[in-house]
Amino acid sequence: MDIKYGEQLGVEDLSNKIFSLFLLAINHEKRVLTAYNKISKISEIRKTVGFKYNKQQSLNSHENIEECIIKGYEEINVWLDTFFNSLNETDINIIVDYSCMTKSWYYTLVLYLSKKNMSFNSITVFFIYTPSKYASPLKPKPNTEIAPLPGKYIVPTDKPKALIVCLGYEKNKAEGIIEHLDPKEKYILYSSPALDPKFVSKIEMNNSEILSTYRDKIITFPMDDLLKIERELTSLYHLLRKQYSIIIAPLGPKPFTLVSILLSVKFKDIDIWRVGSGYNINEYDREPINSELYIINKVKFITNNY
Amino acid sequence: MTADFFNSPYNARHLEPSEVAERFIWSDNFEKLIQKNHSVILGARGCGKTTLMKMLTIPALYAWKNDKRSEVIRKNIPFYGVYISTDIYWDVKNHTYNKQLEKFEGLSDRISSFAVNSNVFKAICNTFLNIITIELEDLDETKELELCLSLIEAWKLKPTVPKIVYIKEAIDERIDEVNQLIQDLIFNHKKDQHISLPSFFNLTFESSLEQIIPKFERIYEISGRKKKWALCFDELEFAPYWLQEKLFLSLRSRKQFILYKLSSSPILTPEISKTFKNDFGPTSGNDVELIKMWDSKDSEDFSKKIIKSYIGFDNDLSKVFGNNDVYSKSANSYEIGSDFHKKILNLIEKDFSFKNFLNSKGINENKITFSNSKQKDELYRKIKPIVYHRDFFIEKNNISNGLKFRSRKKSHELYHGIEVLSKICDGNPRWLITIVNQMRGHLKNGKISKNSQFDELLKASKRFLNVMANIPIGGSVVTLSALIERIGLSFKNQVLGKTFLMDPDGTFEVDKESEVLPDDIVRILYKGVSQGAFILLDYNDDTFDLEIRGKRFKLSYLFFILYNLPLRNYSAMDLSEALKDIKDVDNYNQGILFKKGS
Repeated sequence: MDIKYGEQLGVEDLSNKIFSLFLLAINHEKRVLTAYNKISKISEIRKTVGFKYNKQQSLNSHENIEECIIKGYEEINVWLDTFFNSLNETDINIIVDYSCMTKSWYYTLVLYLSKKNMSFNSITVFFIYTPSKYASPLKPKPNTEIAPLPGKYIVPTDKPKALIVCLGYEKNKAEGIIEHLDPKEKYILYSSPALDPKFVSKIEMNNSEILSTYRDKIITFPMDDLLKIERELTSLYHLLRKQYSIIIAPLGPKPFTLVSILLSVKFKDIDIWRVGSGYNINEYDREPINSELYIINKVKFITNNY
Repeated sequence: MTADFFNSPYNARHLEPSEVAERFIWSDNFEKLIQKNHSVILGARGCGKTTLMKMLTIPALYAWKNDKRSEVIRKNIPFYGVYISTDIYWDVKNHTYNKQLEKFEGLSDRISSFAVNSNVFKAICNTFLNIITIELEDLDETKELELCLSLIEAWKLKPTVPKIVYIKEAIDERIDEVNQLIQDLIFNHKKDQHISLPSFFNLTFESSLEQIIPKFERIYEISGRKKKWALCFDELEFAPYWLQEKLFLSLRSRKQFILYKLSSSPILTPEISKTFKNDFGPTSGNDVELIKMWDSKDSEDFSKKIIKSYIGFDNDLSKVFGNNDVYSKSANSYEIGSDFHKKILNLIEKDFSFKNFLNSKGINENKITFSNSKQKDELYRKIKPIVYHRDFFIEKNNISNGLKFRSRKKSHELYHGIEVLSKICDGNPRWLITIVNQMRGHLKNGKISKNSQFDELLKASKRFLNVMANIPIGGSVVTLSALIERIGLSFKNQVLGKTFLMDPDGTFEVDKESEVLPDDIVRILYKGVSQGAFILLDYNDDTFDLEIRGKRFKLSYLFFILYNLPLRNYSAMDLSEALKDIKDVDNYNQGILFKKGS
């Protein structure tokens, strides 16, 4: 399927609708159910599924939520096959709450929707993100892997690489990928303003060396403005595409990651990379700012049987 | 400025060959590389492998003007260099893609092969274009037409305009088609459905070039020149195993008119080492010229040439940076009243272990003379850097109160001067250029102060350690930076410990037994060697280094400033000894990472 359009919505735009699926991730964070609790009150949700890494992560038998252990992204494809094959409608709405999801999960989902031959006329996905309160960054864990997000294969051309890095607020991650990929061109993006100014000052503090090194290649974006993110990335893409192979490393907030992923589907020569710490990741509580604040992105996928 | 350390504007990878040539500095290694034989350049990141490889191309040779030898080499170089930069994407198996492709037997290897072929084809197109436009200046379109029709046929390209630039575009378009094909296979392939790959998947770059090159020579009437063609595969350590194996085996034979110039990390991985152990493996001397780009005899002279070139004027470097008494070879160091003599007297005063050491050598601490030439050569020369360092850092070392260090933060007296600058980068031009460029900003009246030199060296040292901290470690329990830290501290303890040692341990030998030193640590060492953090010693110029265990290494001198060490290679300790009871200094893991078997 192809992406027909995307737009940013308010939570009120999700009321009085029917959703065939509400997909979320279950982990230790406090915001796991915030969006679900809100949407389930204002709309009809026919099926809710929580992906989780292991048995220990559980919602303690929440009556409406089916829990599903996902050991690798390939299992998501299998699950999606089963789910979509069970539906009879031609146009469906689904919600994906990616607040607690690892990047590779929602990347897999987007790739699946864009690459899989399906019989639906349209699938409208409402990607929901619940912003969290500020928590001080922990000491960064060592980088175990710097690699493309799995799912999209790219045979390289002989073009040099351009790397677009979105900074996170932990130290060392951005430096790690710049050194590893050794790109010819680099652009640095980070969220400013964020929903809490403390995020911005911490990003700037922990990435001060990168920010001073590449000071003429820095772009900031409001963390909750998906359109602005999309425009910045799109203009960078058009600037770089002829001369470079483009890699985006979204190390910052998840809404930026989602927009990057969507653009990598729209522009097939963009690849997405990550800097992983394996299983030894820093865990944050991620308490929601409040139960009314969400960043919502509606993306309509339509059939490409032409 | 951390992120810019390796990725500096002086990284040859990102420069056009003609830009590389503008500041190219001749070295013995380049002379070896331009011979009419297969060659393998081995060296760490930033050591100048890419510069040498790019200098073999026509645009570089024609842009090289700063050396009187350039003209002769341009005319007489016995081959055309085809520069091929390894792309990390070639190694499909080592990337996350492999999981998706593994259900299609052999497909990941075929895709990898397709990726390599496509890049080699584009590289040979670039070389053809350079020969035609720069060397031959032959604009005859009928020749290009004939050549391109042959390329379209040989490479099974879709019909396109028969010009080399369009051939390159057609290759890119085919790459794009293959990307879509793979994506479709991954998501929409049904079990038991037959996969039919296009016939261009069956091409191999070697046989294809063996067919195309003679045609090019015939069409452009250059067969009589008897030049060979050198396929210059750069940064082969990133290449998939199948390609490394193929290329190393190719060093034994292949077509007479094709040479291979390969560059890779100092120590070949265990996987590829197997190739060398079989009967068909290449041997140095017979098949190939080995060029080891570290610890070379001319590295200090080479460094001085780089410094001169980048500092911006042709002054006496000693006047710009000063001389460092610790390493100065001046004979008056060994005279009564010299700076060294004063340091000895200072140290006798405060360090009981030094006094004991002198006594043990039959030297009366109250009568230090340098009259005995044997003593001067065998003892004083050897202990000089250690005396300077102990005198600088130790406040008091006596039996009753033990060892007490001075709270000095800046050791600019020890780390400044042209002797230090030309040594501290171990001949690695990229680090040196980065440091010299930073120092240039401190030039005042033709000089750079000791303080500024020290500050820049310390910054570079910290940056380098930070780069090492970010190297991905896979499943290892220890980071590269933690390993360096531990080794550096062990050496520091030897030089600045309670007992004065004339011959402290300052290098390490990697234990042979995995029970004593786990393979996990060895895997991290490989990464450190390829990054230049550890430098191989006691190697043989004529053989490949295939195993890390049993080998002796030094820590890069650039780290020495962090551990207050003199720039000297001392004796070796077992690595397991250096890491004994290593605690996780970064608190990444709990408990003891590594313990010597008891």
